[in-house]
Amino acid sequence: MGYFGLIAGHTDESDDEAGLTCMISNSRIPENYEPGRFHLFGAGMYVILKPKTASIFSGLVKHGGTPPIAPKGVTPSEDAVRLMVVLYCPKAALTPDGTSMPLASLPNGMPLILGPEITNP
Amino acid sequence: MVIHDFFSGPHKPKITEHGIWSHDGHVVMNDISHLKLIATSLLQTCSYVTGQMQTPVTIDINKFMESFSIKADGGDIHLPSWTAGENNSVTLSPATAIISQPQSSSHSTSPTPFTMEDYRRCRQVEAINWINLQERLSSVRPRLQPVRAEEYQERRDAVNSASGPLRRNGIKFHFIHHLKYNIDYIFI
Repeated sequence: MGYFGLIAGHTDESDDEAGLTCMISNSRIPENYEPGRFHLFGAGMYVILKPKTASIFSGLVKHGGTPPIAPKGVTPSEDAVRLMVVLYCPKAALTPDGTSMPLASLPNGMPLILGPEITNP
Repeated sequence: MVIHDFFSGPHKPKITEHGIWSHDGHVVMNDISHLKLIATSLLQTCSYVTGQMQTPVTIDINKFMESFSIKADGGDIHLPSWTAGENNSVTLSPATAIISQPQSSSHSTSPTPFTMEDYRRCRQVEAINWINLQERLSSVRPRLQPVRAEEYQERRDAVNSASGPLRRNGIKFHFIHHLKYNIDYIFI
């Protein structure tokens, strides 16, 4: 993935070029709040992040978001929560010659890593 | 005393603090998918180890996979068989896992042998398809630092190369002296 949560926008340089990211808004925000917006700069569009909204996009293009905002003069509720679930496509898992997978635990407490030399017969 | 050196009793494995698929995979996948992942990983590991032997070793993948099962309400769940399909794709038959009754000695008819060579060919085709997809999608997604067409070709060449990342033929192992020392030590 990479850096996230930056209003200025960013790209997820560790994502695979052939994959897409799915971002699901699962926030709990009062109806009268501004829920925040998710911007895809290259496409010149944004998505209003109402709860249960899913955005599917390439993490390799510049994207960014704005936070939820309480109405003017209203103290933000303590149980207003933003929760974004991001299903992304790491290059390390998908690129044919670069996969590295922590398979199991070794007796010395270190992970047994299956690198591309092992996973590619 | 000697036996103690070789077998000190069963131990509960110490689990690393890293996220690992064997221990944590059940969180994101169902039992049969988890078993498929672990069995396939063990197959790849076995192939990697036997590939270091001087004698060429053939692994019958279907026999290997057949030996894994998990308990279910109706009996044991076994993994499906692999068959080389058209264009070097892998077909799973049946598409879902097989449930056998506990008293049944054999859960299916003998599947067609599927070797690591078949597996490697299928993986190569899969890798080329993935690189082609990467290139196609990159051509319609604007990026600040686009990947050059030559780089995609290099990736394809690496996959098709005799000593590339998907081929182990070129690998040489340099531990013969060390191994000989250990063998001498064992027999002293």
